[in-house]
Amino acid sequence: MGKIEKVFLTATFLVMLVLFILSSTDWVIKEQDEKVHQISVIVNDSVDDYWMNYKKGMEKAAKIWNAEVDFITISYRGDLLNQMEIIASELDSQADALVISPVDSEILKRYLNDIFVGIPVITIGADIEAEATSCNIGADYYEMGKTLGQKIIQDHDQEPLHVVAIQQGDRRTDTDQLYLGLKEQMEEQNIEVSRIYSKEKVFVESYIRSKRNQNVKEVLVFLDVYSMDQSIELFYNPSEEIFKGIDVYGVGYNDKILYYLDKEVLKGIIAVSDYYMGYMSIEKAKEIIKNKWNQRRIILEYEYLEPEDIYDKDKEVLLFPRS
Amino acid sequence: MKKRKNPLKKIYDKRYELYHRLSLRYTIWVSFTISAVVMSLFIAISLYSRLNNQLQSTIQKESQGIIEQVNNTLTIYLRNMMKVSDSLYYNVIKNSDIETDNMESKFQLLYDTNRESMFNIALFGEDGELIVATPASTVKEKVDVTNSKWYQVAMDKKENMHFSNPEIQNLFETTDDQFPWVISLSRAVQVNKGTQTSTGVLLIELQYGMLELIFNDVTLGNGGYLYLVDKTGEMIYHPMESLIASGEYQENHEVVSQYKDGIYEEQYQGEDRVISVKSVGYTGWKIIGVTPQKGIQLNGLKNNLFIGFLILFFTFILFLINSFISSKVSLPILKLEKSVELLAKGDLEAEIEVIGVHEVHHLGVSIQKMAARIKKLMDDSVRAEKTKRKNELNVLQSQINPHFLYNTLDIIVWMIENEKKSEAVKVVMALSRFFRISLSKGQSIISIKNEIEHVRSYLTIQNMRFKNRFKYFIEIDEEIEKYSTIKLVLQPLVENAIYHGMEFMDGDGEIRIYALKEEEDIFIYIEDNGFGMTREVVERIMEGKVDPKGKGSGIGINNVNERIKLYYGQEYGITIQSEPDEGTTIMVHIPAILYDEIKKTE
Repeated sequence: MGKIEKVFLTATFLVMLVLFILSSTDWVIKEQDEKVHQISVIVNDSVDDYWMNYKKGMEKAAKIWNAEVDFITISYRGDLLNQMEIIASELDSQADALVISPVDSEILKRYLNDIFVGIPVITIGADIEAEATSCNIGADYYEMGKTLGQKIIQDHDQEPLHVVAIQQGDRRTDTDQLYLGLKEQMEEQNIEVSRIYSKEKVFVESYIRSKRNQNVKEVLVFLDVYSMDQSIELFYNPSEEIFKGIDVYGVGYNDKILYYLDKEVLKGIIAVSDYYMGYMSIEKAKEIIKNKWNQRRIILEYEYLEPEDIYDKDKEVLLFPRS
Repeated sequence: MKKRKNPLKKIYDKRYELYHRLSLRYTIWVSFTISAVVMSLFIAISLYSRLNNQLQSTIQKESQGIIEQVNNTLTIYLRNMMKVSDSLYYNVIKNSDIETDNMESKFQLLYDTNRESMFNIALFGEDGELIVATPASTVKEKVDVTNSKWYQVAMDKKENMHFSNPEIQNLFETTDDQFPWVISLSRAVQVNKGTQTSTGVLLIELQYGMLELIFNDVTLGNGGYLYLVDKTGEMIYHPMESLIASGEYQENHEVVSQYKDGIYEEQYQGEDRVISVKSVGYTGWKIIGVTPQKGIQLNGLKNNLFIGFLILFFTFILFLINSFISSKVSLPILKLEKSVELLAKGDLEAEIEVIGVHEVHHLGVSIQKMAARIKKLMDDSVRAEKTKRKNELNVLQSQINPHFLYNTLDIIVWMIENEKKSEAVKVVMALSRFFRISLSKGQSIISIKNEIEHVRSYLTIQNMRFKNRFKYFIEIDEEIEKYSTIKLVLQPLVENAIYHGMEFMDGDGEIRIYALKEEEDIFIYIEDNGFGMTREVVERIMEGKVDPKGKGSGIGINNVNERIKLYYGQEYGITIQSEPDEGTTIMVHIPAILYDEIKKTE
């Protein structure tokens, strides 16, 4: 066999080998991932009533991205210990990723820093600034707070106001940032802002009864959907005078909150799309599992909604996702 | 002017020159490999193209089937709802007086029968006032019914029923916090109020969930889907609608909604897609089927690479096979070529390997035979050359044979001493003639006349020597004398006759010389009636082994025979017929060539 033939043979063999590796193995060109990854979603709630839109988005993402989503609630809202136990349990059961809506950002941060996690951890809404956290999906809550503040100021042209920021008792980065943004905006206009923690409406009720200043316009701002959901009925056709004339704003929504917004019990709410957040949490979990995403934060857009916006064509689909 | 070479011819010449430099093995290997690769590629491309087209066709047919099915289901559903509306209108509203009759129970009945599909049923009057509704009862305060799109379109086109786009139910008060999606089916109806008739609007709020059920989880091929739009392109159903609203996903619905029913190819966001459009009856809606091309093609980077690998693999195998075959075919030819090269250089002993296929084997055998023949011819040629040289040398020697001369001179001296002057003169003259013709100025070819003269001279001398112990007769026709012969042919034969036949004859000996011409041949006979020779002696003479006792010219009969054969060819020569005690006849056979013709060619 001549030299040219040997060279040709060798070259052909090498090219064949390369083509085989490229076409028939996953070493270079990876096939579309057919593996179904197990993603556990651990929320800060005992029921999924507030999570319906999130769940729709998660289910859609699970279908598109080949994932199995296990939606896990805790024993009661705010049960930090239970949430930690569930996290440990899901790590042991070899979930491929965790999506967490944290009860307490600070304690969970220390907890995750102490244990070996080994899988991607995505937080939604509030962040857990631990080393183990791969990504947080939320909004620029500080700016949200500021925007809400601006709206409140616009709605009450020069009127003396007292703003009460209400949130659940948990330490969460999202509500903290909302409060700071709101406070800064209010302080620019020399408007006093109080902050109360309320797990149930009785706390709000008690505050109003005891602390309402009738000389100024009382504005309540619920910094989370839970506290808003618990207390909003107080302001729907109140029989008592003390509850009348209070302007209520909020952050987040569910069907009940939208119902009261429709009734104009709420003047306005500011929110991100729960559906989209749910969808993104699963999509990014998959991408992080496949090492295709490494950004620490995803900042979603938010919308300020007033009662007439509920039936707006463009906003309807976001507020009430169909598919 | 120098003629410019045609550039095409230049290219052709160069290629031809290149072709000549290529070995047989290389040519076979390259030709086979190229043709095999080309055929493989052709087959692969044809098959791939055909399979691809068939796959696309099959999947498209399937997709069309699915779209038809969905369309049928949707149409049936819409028709059923329209039937409910008809039933309400013709069986309830038309036959009732809103002032006196209670339509609510009948509305309730129809609602209960279809509650899974419906949300509310309501009848509104000309000014938008609510006449009857079920299960809802109160219209929202801030809602102006007459401003609702479903109301307006029903009033505008009274002859038809109208399906609205999906929207959140915002007409009736609800006691719970539900925001259902509904599609409003509205139509203008005649409402009887006492003796008067007015136009109202019958509204059925259909649950969107039913439509969702029809479209949910319908897929077309790999990655394909269906969606539903109205005639303006507004989405009624899309599997990714919420993501489209979020901006995460895009769809080309506004453009596609303008297409007529049929199948189209489009490129959207870098992806090739097949779009199927099917209109839905009663509504003006369109079902759009989207099938990504990559889902209906064999294409795909890895598939293409695999096809490339297969083609290369077959090429590799064919390459090896071709290499083996071309070696098998060309190796024997190569060996043969080397052998022929050695042959050409003069090595006739070179080994010629006879191997390979039939033709090459045959060629090898032929070359072997050819080489053997060349060798034999060369050997013969060398041998003939040697013989010729030897004979020429003998002839040369005989031209000045001293023994014959001495003997003849002795005779002359004796004759002179014995006062036989005239005989002496005769002998001297004969001797002179003898040597003159012997020399013949160095010529090898003389006329038969001269040859006869030569032998006559010889016989004259010998007769005198042998004291007329024999007689001789020479009878040659004058015509034959004009022909040519090589010289010194007859004298050695006569010499043989004298020394083998006449020597011991006592005056009875006869030597007769005569010639005959037969067509292109001349036969010269030398007959004697001497003692004859046995066959063995004849053979020995022909072989040149008998020495005529050293008395003659020194040229044997064999020498004459060989010279004749050498000069004229193997078919000519001498034949001896002899019988002991009876005599000998020697026949000389030469071709009839005129002496004048020989002289012309010199």
